[in-house]
Order: sequence, then C-alpha cells, then structure tokens
Amino acid sequence: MKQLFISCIVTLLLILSGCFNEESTEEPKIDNDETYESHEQPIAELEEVYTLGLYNKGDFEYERTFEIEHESFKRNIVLGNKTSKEGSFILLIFNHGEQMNFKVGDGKVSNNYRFDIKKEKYKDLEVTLLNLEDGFHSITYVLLNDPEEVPNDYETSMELADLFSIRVNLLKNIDNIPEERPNLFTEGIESEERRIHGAFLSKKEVPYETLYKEDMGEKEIPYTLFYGNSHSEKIDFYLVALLNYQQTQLGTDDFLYDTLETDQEKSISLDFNLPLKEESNSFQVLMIPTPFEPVSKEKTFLPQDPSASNRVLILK
Amino acid sequence: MNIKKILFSLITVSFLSTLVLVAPVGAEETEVFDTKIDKVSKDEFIDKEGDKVQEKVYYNSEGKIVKVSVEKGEYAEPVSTDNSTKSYGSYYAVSRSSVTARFEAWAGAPQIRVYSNGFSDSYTNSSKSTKKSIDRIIVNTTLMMNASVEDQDSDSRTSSSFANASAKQQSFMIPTHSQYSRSSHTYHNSGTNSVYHSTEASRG
Repeated sequence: MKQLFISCIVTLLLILSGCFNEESTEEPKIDNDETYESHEQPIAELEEVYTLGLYNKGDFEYERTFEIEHESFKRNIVLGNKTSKEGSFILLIFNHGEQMNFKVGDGKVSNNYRFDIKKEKYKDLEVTLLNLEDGFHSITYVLLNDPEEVPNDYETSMELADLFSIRVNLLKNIDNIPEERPNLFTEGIESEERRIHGAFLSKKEVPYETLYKEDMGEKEIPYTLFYGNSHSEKIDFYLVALLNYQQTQLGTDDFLYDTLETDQEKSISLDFNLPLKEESNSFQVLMIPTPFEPVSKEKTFLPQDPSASNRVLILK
Repeated sequence: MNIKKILFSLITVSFLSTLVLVAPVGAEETEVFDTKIDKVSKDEFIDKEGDKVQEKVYYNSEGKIVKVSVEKGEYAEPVSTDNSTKSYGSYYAVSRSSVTARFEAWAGAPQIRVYSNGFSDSYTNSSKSTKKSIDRIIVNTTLMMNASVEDQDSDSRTSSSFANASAKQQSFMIPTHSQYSRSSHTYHNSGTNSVYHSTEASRG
C-alpha cells in the first residue's frame, strides 16, 4: 500500500514537472495591439471601419520598395476590425497579374488564406512570399470580405465588391523597374459613354444589369465584363478572374493587361463554361491598376487602388 | 385672379407630369447632345448635416445641363497642407452617401434626373469647423436603378481634406424600384493604417 502511495506521488510529480516544462518552453506571446493602435487614424476610433497596415514584426513598415537577395520576403499584414461585428476575410496575393503561393506563420503553403476576426480586435498575419526569382515583382496583397457569402440579390452582389489592399515592389538582382510592358489586350470594345469605374459583371442581354445569380445547368452562361476609368489620369492595369478565389481564365487568357484613358470604358463579351466541382460557386473579377508604378516611403499610395467587380453566385 | 393662377399652376403641373409619365422606359435619345461646357453656375448652401456645400451646374451653349457636381469643402481653408503631417496630429473624418433628384431639361423635355453622391471629408476635430488635409482620400460611388448600374464615379485626391464623387442617371426611365447608392471610402495617411468603410443611401 505504501509502495502504491509513493508511485502515485512520483507519477503526480512527473505530470506536474511535465506541465511546468511545457510552459517554460512556450514562446512568450507578444501583444502588439498598442503599436497598432498608435498608428490608427482618428476616424478608426469613431466610425465602423476596418483598418489595414503593413508591419515588420512589431514595427510599422513605412517602406514600399524592397531590394531583396533571397527567394522569400516576409512582412506582417495587420487587419483591424473597428466594427461591432465579427468579420471573415480571405487573403490573396498577386505578383503582377498572377495569383501566388504564400505561407502564413508556420502554416502550409497555399494561394489563399481564410480567417475570422473578432469585433474590436486585430488580426496579425505573418506572410511569407516564396520562390521569388530575379526581376521586378509587383506585389498586391488583397483582402476580400465574407468569402463564404454569395449573393441572392443585386445589392449584396455589389456589397461583396469591397476590397482592401497593400502594394509593395520587390527588386531582386535588378536596379530599376523594367521599361518593358506585357502585350496589351486589344479586343476590348470601347463604349460610347462610360458608366463603369473599375470592373463590372453584367448580363449579356441587358447591358449594365447586375449579374448576381446564375444557374449553370447544361449550358454556358453568357456575360459582359465592363471596365472603366473615371479618373483624370490614364491607367494601365491587370484584370484577373477568380472562381472560388482561384485564378481562372478570362476568355483564353490567364489575365488581361490593358489601358484606359480618362473617362473611357471598354467591354468584353464572354461565356462562362468552366467545369464546376461545387454546388455553389463564386465568380469575381479584380482590377489591379498601375502595376509598374514606383512606390516608396515618401509615395506610399497608388493613384488608384485595386478594386473588385460585383460577386456572382453560379449554381452547378 | 387667384382662380386663374391656381388653374395655370394645375395645367403646368399636369403638363410636366404627362411628359414624365408618357415617355417610354429606357428610350434612347435620338438627338446628339452637346456636352461641351459653355458656362458654370455655382450655388452654396448648408446641408442637413450642417456642412457647407457648393453645387456647380455645367451648361452647354444651348443652356442645357451637361453635369452637376456637389462638393463639400472645396473652398474651405485646410489647416495644414504639409505633406509631412503624420498621424500624430488629431483629425476627424466623415463619410456619407446620398441620393437626390432634380428636375432638369433633358433630351428636350423637363424630366427628373437622379444623382448619387459620395462624400469623404476630414476635419481638425469633431465640431467639423475646419478642414484638414491628409495624404490621399478616395471615394467610389455607384448609382443603381432597377438592378442596373446607372453610373459609377470615383474621386481620388492627394493632400486633400475631401473627395466627392457624383454619379448620375444615364438612361431615361421611370424607376420601378428604389434608387440605391453605395459609396466606398478610403483614407490613406503616411505612417498610419489605411481606413476602409462604406456608406449607403436609397430613395423611393
């Protein structure tokens, strides 16, 4: 009986020491919320808003162009939820007009990352870009709201166009942004009058009527992609299509590169005929403007931010 | 005399109403509309939010309205236009959307045209008495009627205390659904997290 009692005590002590050991090896969690708060604009404390910043570990990152030597690039994307509701987002990253793979923290490599964010909290994503080759990399971090949400009416389809972004330029073993540009897409038909700023998915039979819910069935879905520029400066940009947040072809191209003069609009007639794996699918087009624009500590912001079209629900 | 005045008013109102109601939905304008600006009229007023507003109406040589812009703060004196101003100065931003309608001569007849406006403004404090410049303010506004985009407009300004975008009804139609306006607002300032949010308004 005495031996049993001693064994129990020894076992208990071993369990306890194990617990303490585990605790001592756990890395101390750094709370950077005070730093993030110190970089908020006053409106963030007064209105229902989201905030987005680029950080290097716990420090605010002022720079936007980086000369890199290695194949990877790591920075923190910090989203602040200053609303009274929990939110959900998906992070996508584009190198020029191509969706790229990345890693968040020690997670697996993927081309998208979904996460929830509690009300009045920050979400700090330590993002590592991988396999960066020599040359100029025009990197756009994109956050889309409510990735699981699909529209059942045109208002929701338009609401799901909200997009938050950060742009950085990476130069690897290259001194300057190259002069060479991708081939221009030449098949866009210029509209007589501009209505659209950014990208918009319309029903083919009724121009400018919102495409928001379509049944695929056995046939393909005809639609029109309008894209326009209401600003006073000419812009160049990529157009990228996403099916369930995976880059997919626009017509026969992986992405389109085109320009728009001031107050100009173009359109393309297309058919959606991709094979669908899911019962419910989301389809959206992103416009990523001025990919060759220099950005820096002094010139942090682009003349025109990236934008998303209305989101469309496609039923199998 | 009074009876004559009332009768005249009734006839005028019924004539204008008939012009609006008998026109076909989505009818195309056949005449070529001259969009060259010949003159601009300005009007200043205080809106229901208590803000000073400047409305500019642009006319062509025939006296027809080409476009209307509604701007807040253009003539207000910014407290600072210094680009080096960081986040640490205090300022206060206000965003909102509106949908308005006005009678105007359009395709040869007086008709109602619907406008959607998105406003983004920054001030030194919550009393909104003095404007404050920040690095970049952007507003994108969409006017939706009968499930279609009538117009989208965007304003992106550097070192500004405001951005205003105004989208207007493009095709002549009698709206069978409410008119819906949505604006997305972005505030960028050096050394700070960017701020994103949206506002909505509807009419009818």
